[in-house]
Amino acid sequence: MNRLLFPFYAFLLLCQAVYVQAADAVDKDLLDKAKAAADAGLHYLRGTQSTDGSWSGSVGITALALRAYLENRRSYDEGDGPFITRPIEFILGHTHKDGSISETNNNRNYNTAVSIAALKATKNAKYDEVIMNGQSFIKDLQLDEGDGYEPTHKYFGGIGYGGDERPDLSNQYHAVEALKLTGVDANDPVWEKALVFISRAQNNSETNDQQWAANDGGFTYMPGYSPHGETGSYGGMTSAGLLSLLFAGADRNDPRVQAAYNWIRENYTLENNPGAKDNQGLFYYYNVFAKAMRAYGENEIEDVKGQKHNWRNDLVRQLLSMQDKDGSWVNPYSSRWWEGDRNLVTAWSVIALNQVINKN
Amino acid sequence: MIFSRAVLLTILVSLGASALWSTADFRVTQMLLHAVLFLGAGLLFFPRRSASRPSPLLEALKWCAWVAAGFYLSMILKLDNVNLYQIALLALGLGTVLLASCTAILALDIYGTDRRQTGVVVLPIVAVLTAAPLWLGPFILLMPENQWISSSILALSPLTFLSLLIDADYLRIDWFYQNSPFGGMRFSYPSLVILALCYAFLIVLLAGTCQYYLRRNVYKQ
Repeated sequence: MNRLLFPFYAFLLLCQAVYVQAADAVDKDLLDKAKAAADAGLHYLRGTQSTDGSWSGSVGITALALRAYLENRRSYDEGDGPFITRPIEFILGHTHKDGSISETNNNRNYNTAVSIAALKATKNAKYDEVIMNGQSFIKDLQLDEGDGYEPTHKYFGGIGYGGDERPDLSNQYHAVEALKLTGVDANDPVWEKALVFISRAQNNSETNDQQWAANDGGFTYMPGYSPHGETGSYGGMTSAGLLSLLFAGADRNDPRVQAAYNWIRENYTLENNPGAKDNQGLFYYYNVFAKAMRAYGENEIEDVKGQKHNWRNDLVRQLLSMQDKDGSWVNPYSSRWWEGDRNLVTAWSVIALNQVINKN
Repeated sequence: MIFSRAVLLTILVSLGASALWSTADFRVTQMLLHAVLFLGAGLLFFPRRSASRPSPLLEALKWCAWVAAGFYLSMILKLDNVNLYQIALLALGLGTVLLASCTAILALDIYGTDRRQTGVVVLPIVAVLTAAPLWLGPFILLMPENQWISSSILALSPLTFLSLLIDADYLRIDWFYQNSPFGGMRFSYPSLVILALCYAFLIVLLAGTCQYYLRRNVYKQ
């Protein structure tokens, strides 16, 4: 009997495997194009790299470009030559006694966060001490009772630029991502406090105690303010909020996570940054959207009309359509948030493509 | 001695607004509020114009030094665990900005004959420079990203000088961040030393202009 049923079971398993792969995968031709686009982006970055290994003279952009290489399917590493080792040296050359890694006082959190994430991606243990110091610096930036902020304060648990004490969700997401990627203990108090601040940037009145909070489930830039008007939710921050929630310890069934995901379902598009003015922060959106969707683990997004979208396919198509002939990307609509810098935008785009390609 | 109180009031309003809106950083708020209080009190003791005073510049210098010293002492007495070095720098900066304003006004006032005209010229200049990160915001958004342009614009504002003195990132405090796009642009605050030298150069230039016209007036008389 079993022998008779074996081909039937085998057929069922084959069908299941084909189905799972189809749901998982980017379309074959798109996958090939995505790989070629990422290669072209890295080729562009190779051409714009300074002799000291940096990009745009910025620690942050250098770290992002380095991460784009290290996480690429070609598995670049330090053995590949100076184009990998020099940016590492550039980053290490900007470490400070307080653990920060930055060429400027203005963006110490961003720079330190992306730097330790890039150093971790080298998989080289000799950078562990620098990474630990960076973690300590970021954790020290978090506002809590020690800084005079009670848990009821809207800024409690937040992390800002590092040159002041004003936290925002963008800085928070970079900090949370860096701490997660570099392996901070799940029981560290930093996560619980981070969740308090993240929740207070969400338009979800059930879980947000702020008076201004609406109820669409999306995220705004910081408690009570959006650069795109009042306290409205928008794509970049909602993806950043979703990713931050997941990395800080909330699970998929958490009402905050579900509310954020539902906002993405209701506002699903990759043709623009939904809710943002003039497509400001468009590539920031693509980058964090890819990471958030991968972390959430859903291969298809069913919008409120019931239409299913393979987000990987859509993201690849959109990035392909916006890539310039030289392999670079730049935001053609707005240079706000540094999106006029081709090195930064190209690094973000390649990282987003890596998120898609590496899944397959 | 001549001074346009409207100009001082503009500086006071700028500092006061910054203090009130920078609620995220209590240290900066307290410092700025103290600075505003002392400038306000200092106005009461500002030297009057008098033919018997030999050098209006010297009077202005004395007044600026007293205001700065008073501010420094009050901060030491008022705040716990204060960073004396930072407060000293801020006091020095306040004195420098005031002195630059005094000499600018003095030079223009001596050059002109109508005090009202002096106020009309200086008041908008100071206001426009102080608020440069605000009103130039929409224009900077339309331009290709260039950190040198944005950094140069920031260097024009006296607020940049004062914030550098206390190592505060004023473009990222709530109110500025929400009303000026500079906080989201790529920029670098100018070097404090270079900015201080620029102020010193400005003071020397204006003082020289002032002295030149004073002597010419004396010669004519």
